[in-house]
Parts: sequence; C-alpha cells; structure tokens
Amino acid sequence: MILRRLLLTIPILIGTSIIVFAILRLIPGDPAAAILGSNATPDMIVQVRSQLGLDQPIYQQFVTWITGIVQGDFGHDYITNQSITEELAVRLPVTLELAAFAFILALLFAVPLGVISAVRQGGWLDRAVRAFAVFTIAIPDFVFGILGILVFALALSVVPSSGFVPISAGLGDNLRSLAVPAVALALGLGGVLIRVTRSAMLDVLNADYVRFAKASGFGAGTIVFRYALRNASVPIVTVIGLQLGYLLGGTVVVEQLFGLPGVGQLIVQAMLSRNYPVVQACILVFVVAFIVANLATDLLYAVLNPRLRKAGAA
Amino acid sequence: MTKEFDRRSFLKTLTAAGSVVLLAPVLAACSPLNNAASSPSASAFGNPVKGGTAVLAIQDNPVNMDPADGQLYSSLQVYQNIFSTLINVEADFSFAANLATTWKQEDPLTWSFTLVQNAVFHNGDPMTAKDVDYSITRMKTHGLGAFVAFFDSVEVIDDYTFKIHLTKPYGPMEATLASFVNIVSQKAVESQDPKEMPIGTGPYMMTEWVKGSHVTLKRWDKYFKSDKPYLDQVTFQSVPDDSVRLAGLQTGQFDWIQTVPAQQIPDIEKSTTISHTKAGPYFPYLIELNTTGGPFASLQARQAINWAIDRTEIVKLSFFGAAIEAAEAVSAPNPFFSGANYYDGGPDLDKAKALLAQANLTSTDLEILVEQEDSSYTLIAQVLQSQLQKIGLNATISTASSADYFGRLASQKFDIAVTYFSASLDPALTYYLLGYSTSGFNFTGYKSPTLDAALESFTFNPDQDARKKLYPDMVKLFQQESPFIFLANRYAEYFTKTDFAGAVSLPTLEIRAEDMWISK
Repeated sequence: MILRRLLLTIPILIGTSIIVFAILRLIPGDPAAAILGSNATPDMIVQVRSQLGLDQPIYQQFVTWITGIVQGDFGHDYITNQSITEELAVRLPVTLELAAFAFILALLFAVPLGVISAVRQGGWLDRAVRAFAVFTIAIPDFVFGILGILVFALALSVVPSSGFVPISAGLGDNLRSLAVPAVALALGLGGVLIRVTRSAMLDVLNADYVRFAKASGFGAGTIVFRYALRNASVPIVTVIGLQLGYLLGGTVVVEQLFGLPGVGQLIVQAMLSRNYPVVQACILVFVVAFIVANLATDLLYAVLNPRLRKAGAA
Repeated sequence: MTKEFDRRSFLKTLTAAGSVVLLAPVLAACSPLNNAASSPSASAFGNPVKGGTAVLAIQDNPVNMDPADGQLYSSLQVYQNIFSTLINVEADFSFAANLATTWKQEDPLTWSFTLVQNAVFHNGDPMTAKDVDYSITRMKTHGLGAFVAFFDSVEVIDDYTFKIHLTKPYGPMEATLASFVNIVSQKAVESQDPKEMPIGTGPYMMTEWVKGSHVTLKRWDKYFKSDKPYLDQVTFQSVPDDSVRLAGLQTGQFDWIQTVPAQQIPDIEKSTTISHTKAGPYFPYLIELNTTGGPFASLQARQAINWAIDRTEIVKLSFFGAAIEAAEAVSAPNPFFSGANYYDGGPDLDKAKALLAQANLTSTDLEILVEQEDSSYTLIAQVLQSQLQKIGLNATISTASSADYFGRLASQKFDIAVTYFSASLDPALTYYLLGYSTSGFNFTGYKSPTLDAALESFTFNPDQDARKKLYPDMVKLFQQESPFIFLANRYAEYFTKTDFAGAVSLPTLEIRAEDMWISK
C-alpha cells in the first residue's frame, strides 16, 4: 500500500519538475543580467549565459538538470556558486522548525476551540469562536507579523523584532526568535482548522450513536472526547494535510518579513534574480514535503478508522 | 517660489563666483535634514572606548565577499570592513592615509606610494607591495575591472614602496583607490574561494556567515592601526523590511540601522532615544532615456522631458524630503558640485510642449521601466508619469525583477529607465561610465564625439583644479544632450542608539565600523 503510494509520487514529481522548469523559462528576465547587474554589457551577458549553459536548447538544459537531481545533485547557485544541496541543508531546518512550531500552535488552539464551538452551537461562545476564525482566515500572515512585532517586540519587548537564533545558541532564545512568525503563520491555519473541527464535530454530535450514548447516560466529556472527536478526526486530518501546503507557502512571506534564513526567503531571492536551479530545487523540496504530508495523512486514516484498513482504501 | 528654489538660486550665484569650496558649509546648513538635531559628535561621547559588540542592521543579504567581484551594495558594506584600501576618504571629502602612508603623483601617468609596514592579513601573512600588484592586476579581469581600466601596471620597488603606471592621466585616481581598490592576499585567494572566505588586512575578520541572516566579524588583533577598531565584534544582520529594522532599533536589538521609512524620518529625528548621522546626499537618482530608437532618439523629445520635470515635486512626493534636487551627479558638499542647469527656470510646460511638437510627439505612449526591489523607483515613476501626462505623454510603469530590469537595460528594450548610481565620489566615475560612447555602462546608447571629448578632457586630466573648472561645462553639455537626466540625490543617513558613537555618512557609502564604539 505504502509502496504503491510512493510509486505514485514519481509521476507527480516529474510532472511538477517539467511545469516548474517550463514556467521559469517563460518569465521574462535573464539570470546572466541579474548576475552581472549594472555591469551587464551584451557581450558579457552572452559569455555568462554560455558559462551557465543557458545557450543550450531547453530540453538539453532540462535533461542535464534532471540527471543531476536523480544523482542527488541540485546543481550550483548561479549567484553564489555554492552547492544548492549545501544551501538547502542549512536553510531547510529553519523552515521546518518554523512550520512545525506554527503547526503545533495551530493544533493547540484550533481543535479545542472548534470542539467548544460545536458543543456550544448557537451560543455566544460559538459565535465568538466563529468570528475569531473568520478574522484569522481573512487577515494575511504578514499583517499578523507586523502587529506581532509592534506588540510583542516594540511595546512589550518580550521577543526580538527579527532574526533567527539557532537551537545551538539556546532553546529559549531559539523559540523566542520564532514565536511571532510562528503565531502569524498559525493564526491563518488555525482559523481553517477551527471551522473544519466545528463542522465535523457537529456532524458527529448529531449522529444516532451519539444520541444513543447520551440516552445511555454517558457523560458529556466521554461522548465528546471518546466518541465524537475520534470519529470527527478523519476530515480534520484531511484538512491538516492539505493545509500543510498553505503553511509552507506562508513561510515564504513570513521568512522574508522577519529575516529568517529559511527556504522561503531563499526562494524569493532566487525568483527575483531568475536563479533557476535554486528556484527549481526549492519548489521540488516544497512539493516533496507536500506529498509526504499527504501520504502521512492517508496513513493516519487507517490508524484513526480501522474500517479503512480492511477496505484497503488508504 | 519655494524655499528649495531659493536655496538653489543662491548656490548658483556662489558657484558663478567660483566659490565651489565654500558650498559645503552653506549647503550643509541649508539641507532640510541637517537642520534637525543630528547625532552627537564623536567628541560629545568623550574618548573612544574599546570593547563591546554591536549589531548593524542592513537592508539586503551580502552574496559575494570578493572585493574584485562583489558589486552589490549589501556585499560591499560588509567586506569593506574585512579589507583595506590604500587610501580613505573622509566625510569632508579629504583623502586620508590608510594602507598607504604617503602617495604622490610623480607625473601625469605615474603615482608612487609608500605602505605601512605592519599590515598583516587575517591568515597571518604580512602585506607587501606584491599584494597590491596582485590585487590591482587581478581586479582588471574581474567584475569591478571597469574602475581600474586605465591602470597600466604596478611597479614594485621594494616590499613597501611601489608605483602605479596609468595608460592615461586618470583624474579620479584617488577617488577610485578610496572607493574600489581593496587589497587581497594571493595565497588566500588561490587557496580558498574568495567569494566565501574573505581574507583581508581590515579591522575585522569574518568568523561566521549565515546566508540570508547575518555576517559576524571579530576584531583583528593585528590590525595595522593599533588603536582601532574599538568594538570586539560587529554583526551585520540582514533585515529587508524598513519597519522591522526600525522596530529592532527601538527595542535595542540593533545598534545601527540604515534606511527607515522616509515618511517617518522627521519624527525619528525628534526622538530622544534614537540618534542619526549627518545626512549626505550621496545617492544620485536619474532616468536613462533610450536614444537608440523610439521617442527619445529625438533630441527635442529628450529636452522636452527636462523642461517637464519638476524636481521639487519628486523630492517631496517620491523621497518625502529625504533627498536634494539635483540636475547633476553630485551635490554639495562634494567639491565638484557646480549647480549648473541648462534648463534654468524649469519646469516650463510650454517649452516642453513646443519641443515635443517639433519632434512630432504631441501624444505618445511610452514606458517607464523600474526595478521592483527599490520602492523609491516606483514612487519616482509615478510622479514622473503625472508630470509627463501634463505635456501629453502617456506613460505606463513597467515593474521588473532585477534580472529582467538589467537585461532590458543592457539590450536597450526601454523608453525611460529609473535608476541610481552609487559611484559618485568623483563625478567622472558617474559621467564617464554612463555616458562615454564605448562604456559598458552606456545603456542609453548615446554616442557623441562632442560629449566624448568633454568627458576625456574632464576624466583624463591630472590637475584637479583644472578639472573643477571643466566640470560645469561638461555637465551643461550632458544636460543639453540629455541621454540621462539627474533628478535628486538621496541622503545617506544612518540611525543609531544614543550611546552608539562614531557612525558617519561617508561619500563612498561605506559603513566604517572601525570608527564605531559604545559609550559607557
């Protein structure tokens, strides 16, 4: 089953690679001109294009690139000439830590709020939670980021306004440096999760077996957490898997704003300078992360719902 | 008539009287930013104190630490603290000894130098004249080679004396040495990638470079100036967002920052918790006109643009006052500043329309190309767009990434391009590179034997007094032909904590960390 899913990712990766490779070359702009900057005389541009292999036919460039990927070589950064694999090895942990931090924060506040909202359907608490969810979905990450800087860095001075402190320099400082960006990312994701959790819980709470459980005298806590939440978890997990893509997309903006040296920041800089191999590598990393997250989601279905194991639907 | 115009008129009168040198204090006093309370002078902090660490927040990420190749300002401002130049330029535009203790122009084509004898590279090797020879020879074939194109050879006399032979009597010799020529070690360059591992003789050695985040520099204990640097450690932190950088200064996370939102400068300058350096107008912003085809192949059309431009409005709306109107590459206190303006009395829309009519361009669509990374470009383009509308030119603004922007400049696929040029210590660096017929930087495609002759007279002249006399006429010639039009010189101004001393706005735009210290 897992092997089948893994095999299915291969055509997805190849398709994504072709699309990314083609789209990048359709965008106007020449990496040679970006490298040379204001020194970009026509002769020098031709020379640098040749050095980068950009004078070769597109299909040949693609074959060269994909052959390198298969061998684990993402190529070299056009601007810094550094190995992209090395660049990613340094930057990916920053992005993963930020995404994981935001993800945990979102889960911690969204699922309980979604459950409370469903249990108190129609009450003032439900209305307040729903309003909060809409608010967090509607406001972009960077606005939360700027507000966070103004409140927590400028007014309260409890976190730095920008920059990244690695874990090696102390876990406390590391978490403080990521706190506001993680909250900025978590709020949008959390808003969606609140709504999905509430909706899934309402479906389950209105099911016959829940009514039967109530009639049998089970306590509210047992009904909600032992029966309802577990059965509502499949749609919640589905959305979580899909929202991981959103989370990675959000890191692009948030890392730029907070000066965090992650893959998101790298992709912005690479895109602006038409640093093709770096953009391609970063997008491939994001695609792989998205596929892995969805694979993990599918596998979780089987854990959460034993019926799916027998059906082999996972 | 505005206050700005009064000042310019006053300055022109002074210039006509040949009092160029006098302009520095006059303009400094008139500059709107300089009227505000600036950073306490170094003497107000007492004697410099050694020790401590500082975080300097810069705008962009450095990408290349090789001083022969690294052209981005974000790279330069870091590696200029790792390497040393032969001579320095000070805030008052005077040249001062650095690695060279003495230097002399022996004849129009020969300069002789004596070096300090205690300069040591960060790898422990002593610095000698051979390293100077290697650095200059190497630079000629690298990215910044255009700046030493007229250096013929370096003649090493002994370990600490050498001569530079020129192919032409290059006027901006000292400006070039102070701005661009950093001394590298051949052994270091050949043993590891100089883009990644810079080894210089400068006040600081690089200890950490986290790409996309920060560069940490540690004091070089064998620095040839025994009393400097003062700080033990300096970290250059990249913070792209102006507001975030300012918040970092206000919270104490940063000791020094560059570029705050221009609208906030007046309020910040009144702050008692933030100091600022004396602003220097060192960033010339200009538009380049494509003279190879399209509407601006016509001289009348280019002159019409000059008459339509309202620089007062540009300074006010695009720079929020953080710039000075400029019709030439430099402003006071640069000793070359002339105040010359071929379009004196402008803007004059009637003259502009008449010239457009002569060029048969009464209603034309054109495009203003801007680079998206610099928000001031777009603001300038928007103001220009409305000014050109008044003379019947319908301009659209095309925002391009740096790759697209430079590509279109080089291939001359633009009508008007907004840009700036940071090499303005000596105006020859700007005019020759942008305007000489065969220069690689001549994106306008304008070729004129008359302008070339004027440029050659001004650039290849060893007599600085004679150059200053030639400069106003050359400026007027360029204004008359207008392949490019200067708009304003943006102020270089830095903001610091109140206990942070020694920060200065230098005409080379370098961030000289060796002079900075924290007052106790």
